[in-house]
Amino acid sequence: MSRDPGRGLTAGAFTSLLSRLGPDAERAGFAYEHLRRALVSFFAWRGAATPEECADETLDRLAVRLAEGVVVEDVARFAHGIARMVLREHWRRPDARGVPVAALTSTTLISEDDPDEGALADCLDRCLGELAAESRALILEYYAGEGRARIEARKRMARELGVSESALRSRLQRVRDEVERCIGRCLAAQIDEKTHRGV
Amino acid sequence: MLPEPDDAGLRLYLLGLMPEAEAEALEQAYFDKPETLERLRAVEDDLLDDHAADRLREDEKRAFEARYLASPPLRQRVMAARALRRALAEAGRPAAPRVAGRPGRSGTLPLALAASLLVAAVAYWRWPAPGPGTATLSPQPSIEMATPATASPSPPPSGRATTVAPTVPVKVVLALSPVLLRGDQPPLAGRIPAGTDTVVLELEGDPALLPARPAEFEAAVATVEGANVWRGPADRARGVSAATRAQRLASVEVPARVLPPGDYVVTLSATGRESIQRYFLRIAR
Repeated sequence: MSRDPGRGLTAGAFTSLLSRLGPDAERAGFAYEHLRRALVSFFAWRGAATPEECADETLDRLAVRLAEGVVVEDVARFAHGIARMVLREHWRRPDARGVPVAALTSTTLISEDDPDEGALADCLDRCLGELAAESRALILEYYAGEGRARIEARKRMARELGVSESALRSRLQRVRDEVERCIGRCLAAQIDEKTHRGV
Repeated sequence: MLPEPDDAGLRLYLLGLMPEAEAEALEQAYFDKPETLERLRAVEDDLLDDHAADRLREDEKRAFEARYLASPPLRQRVMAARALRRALAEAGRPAAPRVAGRPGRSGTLPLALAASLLVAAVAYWRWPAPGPGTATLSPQPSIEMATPATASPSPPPSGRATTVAPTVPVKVVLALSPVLLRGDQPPLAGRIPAGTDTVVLELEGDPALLPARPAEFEAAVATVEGANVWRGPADRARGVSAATRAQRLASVEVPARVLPPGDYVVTLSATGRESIQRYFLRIAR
């Protein structure tokens, strides 16, 4: 949970933020991680090209405002307001959007730098292979099936593992996030390799 | 405040089809409440899976692709969903092999432990190859000891184990796996040979459980009755255990003298935060 001091955020500002998020280190840490996850999701869903960077910028500004003594009744609401401002600034950057929305069509989007099925399969194998056996089995089971059968299967899994459906969903979400990040890195590396080879 | 939308409403938000005022209200809700964010992520997973399986209606598909394929981070999720779809298709079955214990039987340990306890303790060579000065003393084939000071890259003398000098620190490595404890079989026990100075605990588990941001780690060892035995720093470990092929999260060096035969709980935590994983450790006589 330590912040990158290179971003210019002082320790005092970061401490102010944590103290507003929770009464003790554990709860503040949990709230901080949640807020950051929410921010990254917000920026991703709103189409920012660099959601993590935007989330950190928002947290920095939030911390600075709190350290300045700004009275904030609802930190989450205040963070949302800052995030919207950061998003507007992000849109003004020329590199903010990967593809102009007006130019989007299903076929052009999928064909331009879409990885071939072989590359996707290689990356998937590699990324699933990096998971613990238990996580691998769980993710394949959790996302199998569809509709009512899938819902029932997930209930059964939670029952058998002795956890709530919500706890199971959280756990699988983290595993899926990890697989997504891994596949993203893997595909990017393959594209780089192709570029260097001039393919 | 507007009531939280149902799953169909959440899907509209993800597709960019929700009226702006409602979208803002929903954003404030998921900034505030982790459970709302989790619901949204779960609905998104289903949306991604439906797209990968070509189950979206034409209008949904258009909205989905306009939003998800235009953004590199979201596009990554689309690719991952496609990959996952492939894996499920190749697996060719609705259910993966069960990794936990039998259904309907709760563990006999306290609930807090049952969520993440160990079944197996496996010991193996810590250093790349047994070299000169390394001796196998264990009465059990699964536990061996090594002397790091003599872990030389040079090949060992042919067929002979040299005597360990009494002044050289001796380490025993135990790999601990966090597995649900539900079966009838008791956990395997590790044995620490006489003369051991340090027990290296290799803590395995799911890397997804580690915090996303850099953190210091620590480990605590307590008896199952709750008496604290030892606490100290844990080193972040990467890679796969040579013995179990499982992912290693961290390793920790515990003085052998604090681990007489008995049952212990080892807790791995990020410093100043809640525990990441717990393990059961049985030291046999």
